[in-house]
Amino acid sequence: MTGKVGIIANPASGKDIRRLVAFGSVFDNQEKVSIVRRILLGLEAAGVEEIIIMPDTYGIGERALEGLGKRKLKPRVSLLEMEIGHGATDSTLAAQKMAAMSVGAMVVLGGDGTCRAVAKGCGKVPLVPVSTGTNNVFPRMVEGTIAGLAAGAVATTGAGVIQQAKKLDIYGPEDWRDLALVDAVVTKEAFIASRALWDMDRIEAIVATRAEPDTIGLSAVAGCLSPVTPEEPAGIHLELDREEPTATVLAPIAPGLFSAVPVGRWQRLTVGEKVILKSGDKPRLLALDGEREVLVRAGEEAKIVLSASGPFVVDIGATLKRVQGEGFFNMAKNVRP
Amino acid sequence: MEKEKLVDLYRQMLRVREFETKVTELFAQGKIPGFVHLYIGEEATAVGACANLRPDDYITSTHRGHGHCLAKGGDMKLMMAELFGKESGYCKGKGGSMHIADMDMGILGANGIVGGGLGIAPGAGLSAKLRGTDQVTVCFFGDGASNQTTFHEGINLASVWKLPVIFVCENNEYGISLHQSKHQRVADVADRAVAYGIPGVVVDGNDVMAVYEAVGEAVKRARAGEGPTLIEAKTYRWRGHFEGDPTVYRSDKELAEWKERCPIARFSKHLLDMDVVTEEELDKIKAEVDTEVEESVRFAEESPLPAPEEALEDVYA
Repeated sequence: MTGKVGIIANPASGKDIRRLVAFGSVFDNQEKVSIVRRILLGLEAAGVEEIIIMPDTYGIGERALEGLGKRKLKPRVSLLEMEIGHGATDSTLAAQKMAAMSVGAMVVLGGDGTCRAVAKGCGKVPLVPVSTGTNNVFPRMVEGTIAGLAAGAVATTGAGVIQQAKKLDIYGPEDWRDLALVDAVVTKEAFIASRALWDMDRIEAIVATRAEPDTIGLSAVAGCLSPVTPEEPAGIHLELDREEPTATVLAPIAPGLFSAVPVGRWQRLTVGEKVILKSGDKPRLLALDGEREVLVRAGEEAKIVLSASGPFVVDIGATLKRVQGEGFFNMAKNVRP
Repeated sequence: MEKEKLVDLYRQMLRVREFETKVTELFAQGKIPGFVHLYIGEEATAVGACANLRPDDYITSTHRGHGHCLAKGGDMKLMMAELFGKESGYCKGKGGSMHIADMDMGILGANGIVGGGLGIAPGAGLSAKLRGTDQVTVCFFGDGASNQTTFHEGINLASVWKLPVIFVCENNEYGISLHQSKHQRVADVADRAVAYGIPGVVVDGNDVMAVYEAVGEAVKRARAGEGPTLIEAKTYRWRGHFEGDPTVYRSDKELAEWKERCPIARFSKHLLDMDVVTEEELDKIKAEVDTEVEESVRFAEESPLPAPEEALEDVYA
């Protein structure tokens, strides 16, 4: 095993308009620094030899190290050499570089949007996504110490419990345009603007890879109607119908923000199945994982295809249970490198 | 949003851009005395914010105030005349760029003191609250000003009294010549909202619709009596701190990257992509704005200077 782990922390997550239009909390960067510090200590405890951190405009990695004071970490820690300041593409580029350096796992701090950016570059490297965004489905709320420990266990032992996530591939008239990890939502919005979605009157349809009633966001609408687990090879597509709804579903669409959503037709999707979006005489914006992203011009057609080839994700609890059974925590056994 | 409003957002940004561009020429020619701090590159923030305001709402401005003044409905001719130091200007030619105000339009003044508006805006908010109106105040300030004591005092008071004030931080990355990373430990001024118990959000200050949406929501809160909001607009000034600043503290590459994110080019491209406007319509607006700017220059040039014997009139300090 490589004993090498990458850390990607997005300094921009957790600060968007949902703190105004819903009840999202501000996730300040100092808290992200603290989480990364605990991840570093978790990785050290797991016996990782090398840690590579994505540089960012706030210096999350440097500050995390600085806060350790005179305590010197055993693993070699370095910042990835790359140009920064280009938004989400920083995370994609960092993931590509780390994958090329053969890291055994990547810890990702951010929201669904950050994970989406990383998924475009991480290849087959397993992810440990840690939620620091607003209303997240893909990354979990998990303590940094444990996230670091689990990522370290995966990288040093190879005994991680890893699942491949689903994704949605978005195609324009001619080419692949983007991907979503959780949901692709058809909106009547005309501008990307502040990116977030909160007005259900502007939403026409939801396509989701997973739908769970214990999550927040647009996929939760489907989750409160007909759940789809992250593991099953299925997705869901539903259309909103305000005139003749077949069901009206109460769903938490943003932090503290509930909506009674009128659903018309809906269907479960199988892997490989596609949903065709015809924009008609008005342009449409597709929101991917909660962020307005892809413009479908008037008269254009877009395709949303459910795929089983998403990023690989570490099951933190199952991984730690497995390595515990193999003596990972038994200091006397000295099984760790 | 209706086409008329979208087109107006474009027009307002272009008015600021062309006004400021003309000022660079006139300043270089020696026709404008004193100091000018230009707003080129930041147009989306002032225009997106002010598009949510009524004529009876207030703004407080900064030393870089031409964009705010135009976006809030200030008279371009009176502004240009003031820059020329002419009697027909907003301050009778005695104030210059950093003192332009228009009480009829709720423009409570540009301000030569960094962070000065942060002390005035809560006062305007308190006034509206005591009078029982639903007027709001937008307080513009920069990242450098967010280190001034007025930032703490102003936002603290506004939050305690739930005043209808929207604090809009135009984070253009530099306090004069000092990069933000060298003058504060936070990267997002919006993080500081937590300390005052109010919402704080970050928006792309070069995206007029993003600013419009965020300030719009904050205005709704303020009118409903729910108190102030801190909005940080990430943006960049293309010119130096002042005209004549050699800008040795930043790289050409950095400037070029921000020019790629030009708020006006981005917005016009989107309007074209969405079939909201045609190239011909945009050309017509440009021609109309050019004419308006030329007329403001002619008005300023043809106006008389203040008489020497009036030198001490209207001067308070």
